[in-house]
Amino acid sequence: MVMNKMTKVFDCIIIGSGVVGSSIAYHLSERKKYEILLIDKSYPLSGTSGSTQAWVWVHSKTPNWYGELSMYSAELYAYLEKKIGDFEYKRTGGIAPFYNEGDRDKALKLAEEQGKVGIKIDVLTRDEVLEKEPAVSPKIAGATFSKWDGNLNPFRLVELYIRAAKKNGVQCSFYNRVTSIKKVRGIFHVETEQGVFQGNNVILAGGPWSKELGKMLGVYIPVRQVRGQILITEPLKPFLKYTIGGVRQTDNGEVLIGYSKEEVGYDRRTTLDVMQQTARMAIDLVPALAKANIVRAFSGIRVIPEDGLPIFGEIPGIKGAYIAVMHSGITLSAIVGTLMTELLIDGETSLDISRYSLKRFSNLPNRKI
Amino acid sequence: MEADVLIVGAGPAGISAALTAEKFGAKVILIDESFSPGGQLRQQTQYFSNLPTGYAPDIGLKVIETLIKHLYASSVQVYTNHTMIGAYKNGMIGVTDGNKTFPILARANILAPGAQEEAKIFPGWTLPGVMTAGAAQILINRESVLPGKRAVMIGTNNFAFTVAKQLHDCGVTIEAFIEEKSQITCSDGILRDELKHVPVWTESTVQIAQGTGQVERVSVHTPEGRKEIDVDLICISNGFTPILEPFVIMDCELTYKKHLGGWVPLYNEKLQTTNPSCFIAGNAAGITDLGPILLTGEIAAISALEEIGILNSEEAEIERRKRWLELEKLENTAVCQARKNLIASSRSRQSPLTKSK
Amino acid sequence: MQIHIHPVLGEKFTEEVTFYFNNKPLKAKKGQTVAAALMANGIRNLGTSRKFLQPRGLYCATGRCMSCFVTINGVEHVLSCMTLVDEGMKVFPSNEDPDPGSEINGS
Repeated sequence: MVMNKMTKVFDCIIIGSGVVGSSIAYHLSERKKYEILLIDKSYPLSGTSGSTQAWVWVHSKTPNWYGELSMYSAELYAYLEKKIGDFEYKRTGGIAPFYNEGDRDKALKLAEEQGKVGIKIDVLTRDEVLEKEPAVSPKIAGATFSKWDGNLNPFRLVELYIRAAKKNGVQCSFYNRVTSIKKVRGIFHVETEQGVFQGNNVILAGGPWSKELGKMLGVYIPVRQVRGQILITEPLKPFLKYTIGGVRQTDNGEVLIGYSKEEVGYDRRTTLDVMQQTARMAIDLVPALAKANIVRAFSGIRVIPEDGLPIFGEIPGIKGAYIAVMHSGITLSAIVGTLMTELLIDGETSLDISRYSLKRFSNLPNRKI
Repeated sequence: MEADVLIVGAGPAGISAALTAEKFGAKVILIDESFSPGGQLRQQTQYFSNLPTGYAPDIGLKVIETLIKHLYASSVQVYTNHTMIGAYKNGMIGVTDGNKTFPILARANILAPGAQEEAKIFPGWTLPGVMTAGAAQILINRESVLPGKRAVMIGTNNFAFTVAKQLHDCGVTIEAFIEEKSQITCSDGILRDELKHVPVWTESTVQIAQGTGQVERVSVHTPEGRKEIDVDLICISNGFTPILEPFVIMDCELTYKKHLGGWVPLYNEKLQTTNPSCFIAGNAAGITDLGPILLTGEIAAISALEEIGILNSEEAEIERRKRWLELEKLENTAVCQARKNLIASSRSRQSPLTKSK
Repeated sequence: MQIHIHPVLGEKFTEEVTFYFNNKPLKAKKGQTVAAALMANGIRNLGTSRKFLQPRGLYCATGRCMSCFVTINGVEHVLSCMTLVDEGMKVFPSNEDPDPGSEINGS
């Protein structure tokens, strides 16, 4: 990148070009007010956003205000697709099966709670599930169902965010690791492998790497890294209509399967132990998958905030420093990009985001940074 | 299943490694995804004289026949139709026979999956009748089937000429060689001479291959203009590149070395990869000539046995050095340079090679 | 076309088997792969590509390129270059994506 690194001061430097960082870059750039720099230690989709099943999942996100946030994001995707291009967003409807009749009460309670914020959930009997999705095993007892759930193609989404952002003048610096962040006379000096960049604002959007980025600002980011391993079948004739617990079929016919959660740091290996277990669970739910060839397995390192809920907003105590880190980046990128843009440029947001602030962790016992 | 050493790939490198490890007293399991051992040497009918001590010069498939005879006379457990498909959490390699998937517990692994031919892409390259030179060679020499009657060969490297000559001897008319570069790249004068009746179109590229259901003709862009000929076989010889999946599964670091065929696992002078339990041999290491391929199998076996304590370091070092000296005499210069380069770059890292996470 | 007498190897295969392609009986030599046995019978078109519906055949012959998929004895997507032909084998071209709902699919 050719620019005078020392004298130029960006309005905003975003660190991390996954689905969250690139969404914020795009949404900010739409206002045509900021000079924006997007930095990534590698390239877009090399990390978590490129190794996901890419659900846009709403209905079982609790508490219901978190479900509500997810629903708004799903709503925005439909419009976003018209602006930045086709990223294969499909609101397929989502089926979350349960195996014991005893779980029906829980399902009904979920439907009641989510109903209060406008997320309509049907609690289905086994026969109703099988009628909707004949490939599901009759072993299930029932399921919760909502039309709000769906999925998208994360490769297209991130690529389209970045393409649109670049068109709006966002500058990108990829394959460039940030090594330190210092605040000098109100300006952030972001040191990278390729020199120092200056910015009035800085947004940490490092996903599973957020903890390291937080350390650079002296802030503890309470997140865990969780490895998820995903199996992909060869392309099959379309036979699954819905996004179902752990399983979905892509436009191209492959079925993505994933259930696992392992805390193994940044280790992105796949293991046969988990692959075999994953396959067994999938066959249990969708018996016809027993006939499918698995052509590939990959793993992604997910990030999970300690209380499971998204963290975004200004970092308490450091003016101009922001964070956006969450487990469900694919579900939430549209709404988080929108709200972060309002926060930075308008100074206020159309939804109250205070419950997503990092502040909620401040009464935790002192953390080692 | 348990063994001291698991070897993945029963081509010349893998078999050589298996026999060496067995000779030094190791319990060895050798697996291959094909229905028979021998790898790509099973269809080499050309003569090899540049072989290590102990090998009689012969045509490739006789060399491997002899090795396979030794293999089955040894205590090595050979499993054909078995594919490595993953690794378990504890580092064990997982293998499938198409029905069952199971672990093989070995104290060291030698990965010798070989190399694959690079594609060459032009409109129509996916038509039946367009195939790699290696595929055509398999058909005539291993399968006793003629892949066509009239052919063009894309590429003029040694392998292109070798296969063209063998096709010609089976009665296939070679209409032309098509070469992008300004001259033939084949370094074997005798081979070139034997095929001097075949026109070589240099600075030429295939524009399109056409046909209904299969290839019927090819249009070539040449400096003299467009040439079109009727053919039913188009062979592509565009060089080889190491097969990497087993190394990726085992989390071995890769590096790019053009003269070793592109991306290749990083290894040291012990032929140890960045995963200390995994050693590399043969074509996968970017080694191309048969003699050196056989020797890398031996070196990898010696290092694997050193790693697990069957050989002590002094013995291992002596045995290794002997073979590296011999290997260098048999190796072509470009590969030798690139290989030394790669080993030197691994030396600058911590020893033993471990991947920084 | 079969090479009956190879210039270097002479007569390599002796035993003959019968197999079926699209239900038509064909002769092959025991020891040959399915892809080679089909080619020996003049059949090079083994399937249809899924997107542009173009013909596909043997390309690498080493089990890597997936261009030679066929259906063998009811099992879809079998590599014909890595599978030995057998007496009575029923082979069909690979013309569409496997159907997980279909009963002919193997185990």
